[in-house]
Amino acid sequence: MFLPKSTSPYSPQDDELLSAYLDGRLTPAEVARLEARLATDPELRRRLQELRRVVQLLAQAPRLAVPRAFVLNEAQVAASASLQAGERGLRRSGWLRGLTLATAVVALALVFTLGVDVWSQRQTGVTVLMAPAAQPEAAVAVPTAPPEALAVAPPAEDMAAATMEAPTEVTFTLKAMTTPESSLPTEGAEPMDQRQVQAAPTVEGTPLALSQTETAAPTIGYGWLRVLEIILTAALVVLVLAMVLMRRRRSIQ
Amino acid sequence: MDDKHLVMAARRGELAAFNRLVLHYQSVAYNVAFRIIGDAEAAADATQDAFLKAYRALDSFRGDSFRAWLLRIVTNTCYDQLRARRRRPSTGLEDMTEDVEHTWRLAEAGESPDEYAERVELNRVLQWALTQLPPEQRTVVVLSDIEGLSYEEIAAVMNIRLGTVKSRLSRARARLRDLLQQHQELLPSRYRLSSESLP
Repeated sequence: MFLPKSTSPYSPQDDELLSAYLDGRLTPAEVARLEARLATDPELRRRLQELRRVVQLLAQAPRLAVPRAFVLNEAQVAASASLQAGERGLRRSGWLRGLTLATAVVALALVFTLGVDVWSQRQTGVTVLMAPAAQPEAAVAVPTAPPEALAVAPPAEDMAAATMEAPTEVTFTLKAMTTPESSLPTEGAEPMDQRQVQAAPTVEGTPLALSQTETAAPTIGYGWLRVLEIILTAALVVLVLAMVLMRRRRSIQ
Repeated sequence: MDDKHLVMAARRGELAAFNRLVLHYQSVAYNVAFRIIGDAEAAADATQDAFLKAYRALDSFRGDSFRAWLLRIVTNTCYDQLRARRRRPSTGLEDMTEDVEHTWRLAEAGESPDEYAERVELNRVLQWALTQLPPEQRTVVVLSDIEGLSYEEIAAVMNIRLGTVKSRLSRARARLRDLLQQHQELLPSRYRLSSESLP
């Protein structure tokens, strides 16, 4: 019961020391320490001897006769060159397959993101503003909101003030997107007025049941969606370009 | 001509120059391949394949040691072979010892038939023990203790650090010691490890 459980008090570190010692790969300090241990430890000496014997035995490992000369001839080199070209072609077709798959995945992700975008806009009523964005020529429709809608505006104006951020930002986006084709700037109205006019329908379009937090939240989500859409579109363009280039290079070969 | 000049000539398309390198290194390449794979025919295939790969890849040879560069291609080709053969069951000691019809032949050493037979036995047992090691330990111990490469050359061949060479080599040797001690009786008497028989 008092005997140590392990029969060997030596660790793999000791084997590593002994192995490096045999190869002359220890520092002088390590050599001195190990030799001091060896002088007093017959078991460690025995382990060293056994390890040395293994190394000697391996050095005596018989050499095998070469079964034939491995010199290359022109035919082998030519055959291997065409084989290599074939392998390269195969590898490229593998790449092309991967690229096609990646393009499909990115395209699907983009469609999904656009779907979520449209859906979330419909949920928050931003659709009213975004519809002109999608079709710039219809942008003029926004300021010509029914007069009665503007008339009902006052009750909603408190909300508009409270959620000033949301409508302003959306309007800004709309302006940024519609400016090139939109006829709004040429109408001579002051930008500030336009913003008010546009902001009003936004609030107007928002279902009254919607709470303030709900109006604010989609603004943040909306920004992220836009970023994601841009990234995905860029990725799609790069992938399609890469695919076209690869196909062209392949057809040249 | 030294290795570098032969490589330069081979790059210019002189196949004869490359074949001089082949003749010079084919023994070490084939022996390393055999020790790693453990099968003579597969080792010959791997060696031929490695020389072809080396010829095609000559432009990528930048180092000082053609031997290290070539052995790197050889060992990688052997690993590919091993992966391809993995589906087959591993060879037991019984298969090794009963395999009288071995396809390999030892290099001549000007010895008696009895001595030759003893070396065949030694070769068989050593090869069996080597195949019990994980491939990366096997490669380190083959390059170091059978082929006599330095730690630095092994590090270059295997693309590992010197510390890794040292620890893998020590583990390989310790495992071989255990295996050979457990199967002392298989070794010809003059090759046994036991302390009593030590000179």
